[in-house]
Amino acid sequence: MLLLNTYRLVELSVTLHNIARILSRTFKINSTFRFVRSIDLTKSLLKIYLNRSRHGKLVHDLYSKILKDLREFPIENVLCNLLTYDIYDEISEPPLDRERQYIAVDPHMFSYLHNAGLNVKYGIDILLQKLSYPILRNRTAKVAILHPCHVRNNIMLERYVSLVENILERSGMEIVHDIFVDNSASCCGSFSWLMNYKLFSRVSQKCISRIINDRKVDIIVTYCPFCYINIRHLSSYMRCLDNVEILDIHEMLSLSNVERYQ
Amino acid sequence: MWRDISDNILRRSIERVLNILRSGYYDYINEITKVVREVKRDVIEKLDSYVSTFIESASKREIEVHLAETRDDVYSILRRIVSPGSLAVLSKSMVCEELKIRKFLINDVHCEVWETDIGELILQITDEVPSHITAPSLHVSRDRIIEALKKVTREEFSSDPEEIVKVIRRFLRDKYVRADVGITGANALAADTGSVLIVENEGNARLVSSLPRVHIVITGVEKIMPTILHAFLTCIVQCSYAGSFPSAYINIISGRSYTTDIERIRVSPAQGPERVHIVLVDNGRTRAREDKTLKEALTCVRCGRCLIHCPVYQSVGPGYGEPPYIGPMGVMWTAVTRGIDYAAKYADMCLGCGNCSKNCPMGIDIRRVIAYIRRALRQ
Repeated sequence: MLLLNTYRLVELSVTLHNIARILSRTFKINSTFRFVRSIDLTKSLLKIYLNRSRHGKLVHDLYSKILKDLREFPIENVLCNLLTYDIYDEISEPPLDRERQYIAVDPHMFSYLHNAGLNVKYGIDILLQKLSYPILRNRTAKVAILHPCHVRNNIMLERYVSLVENILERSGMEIVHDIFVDNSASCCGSFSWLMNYKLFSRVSQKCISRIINDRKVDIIVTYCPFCYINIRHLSSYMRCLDNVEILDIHEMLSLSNVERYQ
Repeated sequence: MWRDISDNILRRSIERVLNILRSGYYDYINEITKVVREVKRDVIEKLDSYVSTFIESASKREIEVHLAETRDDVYSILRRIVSPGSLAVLSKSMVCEELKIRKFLINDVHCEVWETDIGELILQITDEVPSHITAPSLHVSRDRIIEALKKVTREEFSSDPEEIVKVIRRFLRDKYVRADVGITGANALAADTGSVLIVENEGNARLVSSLPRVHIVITGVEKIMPTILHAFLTCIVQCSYAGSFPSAYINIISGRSYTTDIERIRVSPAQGPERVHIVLVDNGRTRAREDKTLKEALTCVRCGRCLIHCPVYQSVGPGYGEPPYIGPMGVMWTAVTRGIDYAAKYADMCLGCGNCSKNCPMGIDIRRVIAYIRRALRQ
């Protein structure tokens, strides 16, 4: 129930974002203003994400434990975004404190803040540093990894593709490959959620049904919060997702390693 | 329909390209691609000088070169060359699609016009628009093809693809022989020799360019490469990333046909067309060259790789853009040929995943160009 409410809240926020987008287009509100609003929206979405969902709480706890030795590093500095990428191109100077260090949970935000010269680390990097070669709960399952496009298509981040695969393989899981996902020919379609819901559902459903119907997997793993929220949303009406577990790599790490940090 | 057919076709397309690039037999393709990328960028910077060199070289080879700034300029050039009532055969060309040459010849010059590429002929007889730049009729079912073809040929035949192709071949042979004008595009032009290079698999382009009395090449100015070697390398890159390397034919036309077999006296034409014309089309390309971001689009070789990797194209097919320019490269080319404002509505469909940029052999940051076009919506 709580989870369902979370998705509704996220959807509501996205709707508000869309309205703000249309208004800003109509009234030509300057981009910085929109960016700041987007950051606020991002933060509020992140709060919803971290505090309200089962998964979000796990991620929150995981980061809290890892970050407790990093003073001056409140959880608020862990950012994830739902910004439109062309706003990145438009705003060269993000309205964030240059003196502070940030952690980006999602690859989009990491790339943007890194390119803007801010002190930012990619969330998975921090986790892996602390967890040093994590091995997940040993279980036999067929896993499809939905590599986020902003990881696959980014020179700085593409090494995480093999890194995440490695973690799962070492944990005894069978990775099921998909020609579209493996060759940068796929996207979960989250971005269009913000703009064109009809397009979003076509792209997302195509992406997921390919993985499920063709490959018969038990688990779909992703490591982008936006992909994760999106697939969970799809699972509410795509029957083929009924028997498939959807996990975020953070969630998997927190489930398997939580004892190490107590 | 698109939803049902696209996955298998796209999967095969990806596999075909990967087989070529990763087979180990053609390792030189990566090196060639780098060379073409560098040279293309240089050509776009110095396009005016290359255009002059090309005109000079082609003129020496008895080719008549025409510069057309707009679509109307192309039409008036064609009116001068093509007589009303002529029979014209066309070989697949995106620039001809861009300029709606077939419709113009039928409606304004009152010609009998036939597409000779099988995919394009299917679109012509079914009155459809292309759904992919290298495989234009992939969305048309076999039943529709048979129904339309029976009406045109008045022949009875089975649904076996081999028999369908036989019927088409028989139908088109007659057109080639009777044609007054053959119109082709070009995959690359060589500034040093004035040559035209055409890549194809069906063999129609060589018939279109050699059997009719007049051969007209209609192509964009950005297709010029400094030398015939660079032009040839461009063709290899195009067909490799389109998944059809080695293509069945790469035609090189360097002037009008001639013979010196009778007492070493040069006689031209010999057995090829009496006249060869090249129409170099601008249609927004020079304007795009002045735009720092959009200029990148001019280095595109139109292999169609960005289309097969684009999740939006995979989902909506030809609905992502306006044929012939569809998919990520289509958004860029719509901006080049019809203006940024016009292209912005299609740019708004982009997800920003960057698959197109990652897979573009020319290293064009297509995602960035589309984001730039999208901004026009807000401004």
